Order: sequence, then structure tokens, then C-alpha cells
Amino acid sequence: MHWPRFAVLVLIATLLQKSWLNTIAVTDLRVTPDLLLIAMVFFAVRCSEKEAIISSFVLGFAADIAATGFSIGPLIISFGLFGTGLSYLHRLISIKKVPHQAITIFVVGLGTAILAWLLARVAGQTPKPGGFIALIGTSIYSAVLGPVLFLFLDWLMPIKNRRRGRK
Amino acid sequence: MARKRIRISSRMLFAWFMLGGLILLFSPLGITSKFQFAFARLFRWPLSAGRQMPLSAKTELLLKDDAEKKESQYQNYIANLEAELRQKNQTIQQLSGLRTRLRDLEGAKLIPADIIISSLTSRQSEFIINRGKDDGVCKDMFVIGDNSVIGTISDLSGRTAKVRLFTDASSTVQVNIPDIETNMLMQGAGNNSAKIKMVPVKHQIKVGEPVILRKKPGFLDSAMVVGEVQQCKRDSKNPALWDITVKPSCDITKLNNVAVIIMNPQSSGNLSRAENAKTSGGK
Repeated sequence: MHWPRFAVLVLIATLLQKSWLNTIAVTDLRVTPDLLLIAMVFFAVRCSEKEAIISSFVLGFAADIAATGFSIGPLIISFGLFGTGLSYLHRLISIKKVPHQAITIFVVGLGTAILAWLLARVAGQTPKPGGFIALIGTSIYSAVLGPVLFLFLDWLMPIKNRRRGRK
Repeated sequence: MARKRIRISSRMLFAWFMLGGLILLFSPLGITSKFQFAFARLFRWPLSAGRQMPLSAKTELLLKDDAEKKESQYQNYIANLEAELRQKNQTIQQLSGLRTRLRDLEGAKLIPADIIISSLTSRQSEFIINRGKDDGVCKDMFVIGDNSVIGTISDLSGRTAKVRLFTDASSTVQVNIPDIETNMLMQGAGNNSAKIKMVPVKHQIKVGEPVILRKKPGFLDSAMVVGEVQQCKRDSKNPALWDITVKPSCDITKLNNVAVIIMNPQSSGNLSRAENAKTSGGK
């Protein structure tokens, strides 16, 4: 894993998530894809377990910084938990085909958002109620865009596969 | 000399990161929000450029938008004047014989601010602006854009502040509609709209009527327009009440700069000086 390249990628993704991505927002709900979520799923299924854990928590921190609705914390934990879980799960189930990647991004997108919302409530914060439709929209948009970005990320971050994942 | 390599197991790594996450989660909001403000301040330029890109990409529409924006500004200005006039008339009628003076924004200080980050989604409607405590901005101060009130300061650091828009789901403000002397609560509904409920259907409410924010002494000494009625239908749960949808008076998505209202500049200046003294004293 090229960590300096990873750091630059996280920074660019966070900046894009916070500003430029509004240009491709769709519907009245202004649904945008979640680049950090896509990156988290990518690193969780491509890297070794340790790298997946580090990248998931770092991307969670970036997501918390980018999301003004939450305070810092809920997304770090939810990204970390789901990223680590996905990394372990990848030992048993191969997530290489495009439909599988899309489904994974969709499920993880829903899971991280719901868990982050619950964690924020547990911590005594008052997170925005938000719309479940918007949440599903974000997950679907990310799932559609994710496999395409995976190709770009594969080119940008060539990761030597040392995993014992199923072929 | 051979470097000693530290080996740490995956489980231990996970545990350390979880612990870090939990510490941040239960840390006071004032501390953790500094990360967000620092990020906004550090990457102000790319974030602002990203915000303005969709606007500059639509150059043909901009001229038309500019005219519409100016028209909207004038309409809001007129609505504000009408609200002020109406309020003055009411005061004269109610307190006949007593000399009263309505304070308006003439004595107020307006601090212009640029929007660094805008989060306008169904979940949140917030701006981060490049003005903070150092500029005399305090929590709960009102923020205006295109001559209409758009939100309040919800959180702030030295040089940046978070503006919670009235369309944000966690925002609730007292408003009224001209010709109806009832106080109403307007709750943000996300998606660039807000809702007014609990208004009996006996009141006649027309689409397009201005919604006026009630004055809040010390923060807003004069009523100001905040939006207009976009839709008015009977509440599905209680048909005896209206379900009113309000849209902001200005196009929030196209705002690049706003202004923070400081109603009593001297006292707020004293307040910031007092806060500064307190901070330096604490150190």
C-alpha cells in the first residue's frame, strides 16, 4: 500500500465530497454519491486486513470532517466497523464481480449511515432526522458509480493482492 | 543499525482505532467541531472554487439568474418595508398615546461573509462562513442573504461559523403571516423548504404570501421576511389545520455571500472584548 498516495487520495476525495460533487447531484433531494464510502469498500476488499482497518478508520474520520451534520466520531466508528467486517467477510465471499461490488456498496452505505445515526443518538447528539429516501438514493448512486471508480482506483492504487480471499 | 520493526496484531490495531473513535464520539462538540472548522479554513480555496464551479459552468443562465436575483432582492426589500410599516401601524394602534420607536436595521452592524462550505441536502441545510468570534459574531445571531433572513449562527470558532438555515430539519423559529395575528412555529423540512403547522383552517392563507420572522430583541429588533408560502393544504392527520410549505425568499443554492446581523454593535464588541479578556486571563 502506498500510504502517501492514499493520503492524497483521501484528501482529494474529501474535498470533492464537500464541494465539487454538488455538480452531479440528482433529483430535488440533491442526492450525491459518497466517494469516501466507495473508497472504504474498495480498500476493504483489496487490501490486507491491517491496511483495511487503517484505511477504513481514516476514511471514516475524513467522512466525519466532511459531514457537518454530525460531530466527529459516529462515522469513524461505523466506517471502521463496516470496513473491518467487510475485510474479514472478503475471506469467505469473493466481491470481484461488478454486481457484487454494487450490492456491497449499497448495503454498506445503508449500514454505515444507520449506525452513524444511532451512535450519534447514543452519544447524546441530535443528528439530523434526514430522509430515508435520500439515504437510499445516496447508496444507490454510490453503488452505480462505485464499480466504475473501482477501475480508476485499481489504476491509481495498484495493490498487490496478498489476501487469502476466494477466487 | 537495524531498525526495530513494531509488530501489532490486527485485533489490537482495531481496538486502538475503536478507542480513538469512541473518545472522539464522546468528546464535547465544541472540541470536535474545531476539526471541521480547521478543515474548512485550511482548504478554503478549493472548497470555494468547487462551490462556484457549477455556477460558472452555466454562464448563459447567469444573466437571467442575475436579473431574477435582483428582482427577488427588491421584492424582499419591499416585503421587509411592508412588514415594518405593518408593525409600526399595529404598534400605533395598540399603544396609542405612547411614544414608541421601532428599531430597525439602521443601527445594526452587518458583517459581510463568504460561504466556504454549503451543505444543502435533505438531511442538512447549513453553511460554513468565513467570519467567527474574532469578527464579533456570536451564537444565535441572524444571517441575511439577498435582503431576507436565511438562518442563525449555530456554532462558531475564531474565524469561521456555522449557519443553520431555516430549512434545516433542526431549525424552529417564530413567524407570522401578514393579516393573521397568530404566532406560528416554522420548522425546517430540508429540501430547501420549511413547514408551518398548527394553523387553523379558519385563516385564509394564499400561495405567495410573505412569511415574516418575528423580531427577537437583541438579535433582530425588526421583523423581516424569511420566505413565502409555496403550498397550503389541509393537514392529512388533522383536517382542521393547515399544512403550509414555505420556501425561502431567496435562492439559497446560488448565494455566494451573506451578512451577519449584529443588532447592538457596541455591546457585542464589549462582549467579544470580555470574552477575549476571559480567554487571555484563563491562559
